[in-house]
Amino acid sequence: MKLLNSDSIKSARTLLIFALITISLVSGVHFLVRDKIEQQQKIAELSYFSEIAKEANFELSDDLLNHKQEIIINNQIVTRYQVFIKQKHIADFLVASTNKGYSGKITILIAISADRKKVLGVRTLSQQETPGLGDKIDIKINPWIKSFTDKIIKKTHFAVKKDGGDFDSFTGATITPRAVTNLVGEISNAYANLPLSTK
Amino acid sequence: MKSKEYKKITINGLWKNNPALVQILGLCPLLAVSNSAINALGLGVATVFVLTFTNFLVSISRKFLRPEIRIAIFVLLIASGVTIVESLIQAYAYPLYQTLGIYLPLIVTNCVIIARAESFAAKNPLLSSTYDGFIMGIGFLWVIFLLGSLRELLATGKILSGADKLFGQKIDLTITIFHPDHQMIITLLPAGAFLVYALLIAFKNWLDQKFKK
Repeated sequence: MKLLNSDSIKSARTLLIFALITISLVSGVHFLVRDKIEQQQKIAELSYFSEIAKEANFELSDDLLNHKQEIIINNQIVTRYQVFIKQKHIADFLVASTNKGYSGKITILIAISADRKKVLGVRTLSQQETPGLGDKIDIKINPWIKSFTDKIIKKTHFAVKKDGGDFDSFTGATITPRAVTNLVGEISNAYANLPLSTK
Repeated sequence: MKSKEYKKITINGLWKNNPALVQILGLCPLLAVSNSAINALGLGVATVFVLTFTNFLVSISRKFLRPEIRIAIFVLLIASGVTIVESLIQAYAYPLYQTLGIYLPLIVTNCVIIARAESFAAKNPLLSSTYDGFIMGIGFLWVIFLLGSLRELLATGKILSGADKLFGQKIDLTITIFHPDHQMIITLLPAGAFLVYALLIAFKNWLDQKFKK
């Protein structure tokens, strides 16, 4: 065939070789640093746990992240970490996520007291919301997420003010805080209604 | 390599052919991330890494380039360069990664990178190409840092706030220059980015004209 003259074959070959080299470079680096990244993420994640714990006045043990359970709350899989101090149940940490944000998945951490009556605190673990608008759910950018601290679950309307609830949204961004607020509300209400005996 | 050539590359990158002030390239990250001095510094440093690295990659492979597929190869090299830098920053400077977050992949859209690949690295030897990438990165860094500082200063009267995001927990480098009665919020908004940027370019041109005489 005329189309496949030697020049275009050469070009295709070069392109293929470059693609192979760059892909192996990227995957090589990825495999080299994967463990390190996971470790960093764990440290960062644990720092959110201890921030909430500090505000609620209890200490975390270092092996907290090793005792995780997957439970189903409100039809979604939630990761639960239970905090016991001297055999006494202090609080539960729940990690849940939603796709109802503006772009991609938002993962949040909710701390609920052992009697399941109070939200001790909430933090955003990961998000890809619009910089400058929706990313204010991140504690590093805006303290908004602290408005969930110490809310009594049964007495709080978990919705943004625009939807008649108790929580502010941001100028120019309603979808993101709505997604977070609704998620906190759904999870904590459903969790409060779970029978306490389910360990 | 002659020192004269390096001197020329240096002057070009930092002033005469500055990527941000003269070539007007990479406006997307330049204007989007320059809302505070610290954010600008973070993105600037990341750009220096990426630009040095991609110029190195392009220059190393310049003998195998064919004109009809060179753009495709540049894109491959730049995309993998950015991904690698992103992974490394994520692994070894996690707080910085958390701050830059979404902006790191944005570096890929910085046209200054493909421009340097096309106009310099593809035609020049390894060492001077790598050096050119580094200097062009520094040229971008000082402009974005100045722009970030000016915008932050005009809006809040402070610079370098939020240094803990970049350098760790307890460091506070905030310098308060004045306490504004009315904050000039516009400089923090996108429109202000263009205004301050335009003033910077005008100032540079004015300086150039003045020294010509």
